[in-house]
Amino acid sequence: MRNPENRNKPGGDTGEMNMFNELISDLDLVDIPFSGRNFSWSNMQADPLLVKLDWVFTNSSWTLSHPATFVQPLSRPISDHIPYVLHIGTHIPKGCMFRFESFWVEHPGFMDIVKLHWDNSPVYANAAKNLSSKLKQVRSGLRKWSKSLSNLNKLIFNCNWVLQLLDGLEDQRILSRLENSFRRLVKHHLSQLLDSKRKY
Amino acid sequence: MNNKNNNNRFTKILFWNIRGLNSQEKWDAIRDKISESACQVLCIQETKRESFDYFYIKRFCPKSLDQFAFFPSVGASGGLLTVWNSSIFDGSIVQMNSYAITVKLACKLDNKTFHVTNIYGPANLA
Repeated sequence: MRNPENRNKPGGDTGEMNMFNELISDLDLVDIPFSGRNFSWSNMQADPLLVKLDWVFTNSSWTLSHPATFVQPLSRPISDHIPYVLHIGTHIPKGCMFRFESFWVEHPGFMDIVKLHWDNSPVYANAAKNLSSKLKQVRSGLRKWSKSLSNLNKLIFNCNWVLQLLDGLEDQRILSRLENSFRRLVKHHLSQLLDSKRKY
Repeated sequence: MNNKNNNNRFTKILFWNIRGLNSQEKWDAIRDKISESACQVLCIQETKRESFDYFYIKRFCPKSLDQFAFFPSVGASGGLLTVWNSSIFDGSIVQMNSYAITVKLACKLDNKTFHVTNIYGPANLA
């Protein structure tokens, strides 16, 4: 802890906080806050004690060379600490590669999509051009189709989003019994979704 | 989320104090978070394990996360593990003790180098 606000209830050792803060300034460390969250640990009770026990530090030269650095907290499916991701912006451009997923082939709609785009490609006199145009059509068709396919990922994303919202709310105030049981429900649902994703 | 309008890549490092990773439940949870975050580096605190080998790492890491450094737990307390994607980073251990592992990561895509220190401080130091 660096200061009393790193805890949702009174307490904490002032001497230890001072030591921690002195060390941080002596080493010229820069504290990267967790976007939108005050605490990283919970004792998991209904009226929980919440504390920021997890910290990410860089230094001042890093701040200048990597301004696009932030910490994204994730939802907590397990453990009493939250997982969190340090994002560091680079100058490496994103690839926009086409990735063919082998599980597509087993999907019932797959052959229809391939056939649809293969047959609907414009016809060229040049056979090579013809083939490349067909491949291009199929590729763009599959790309679009695959986005609608992964309903599961969308559901998982939504569950994580709701869990984070509730955890964030808990940062501010005690959750009601209803909210608590809703969180349990969503966690359970999420674990089922993740189970089916793993089998896939 | 925040990088939707940015056309450059982000290096993503996932951190988690997992409180022991000796069960299928923990392995599944880590694997899910790796997939959710699309991280290239993973730093785990409180592994509560005395040793790791490649096969054990594969219980919770995808193929891409293939190089690692660990510091063993003392009995059932502490333990650190840092795993990275060796097709993106050349990693080497700089320093290691019971509370911290520092790994130097040289990115193969832009030749930039940085250090990641994975730290765990036990709550009750006598």
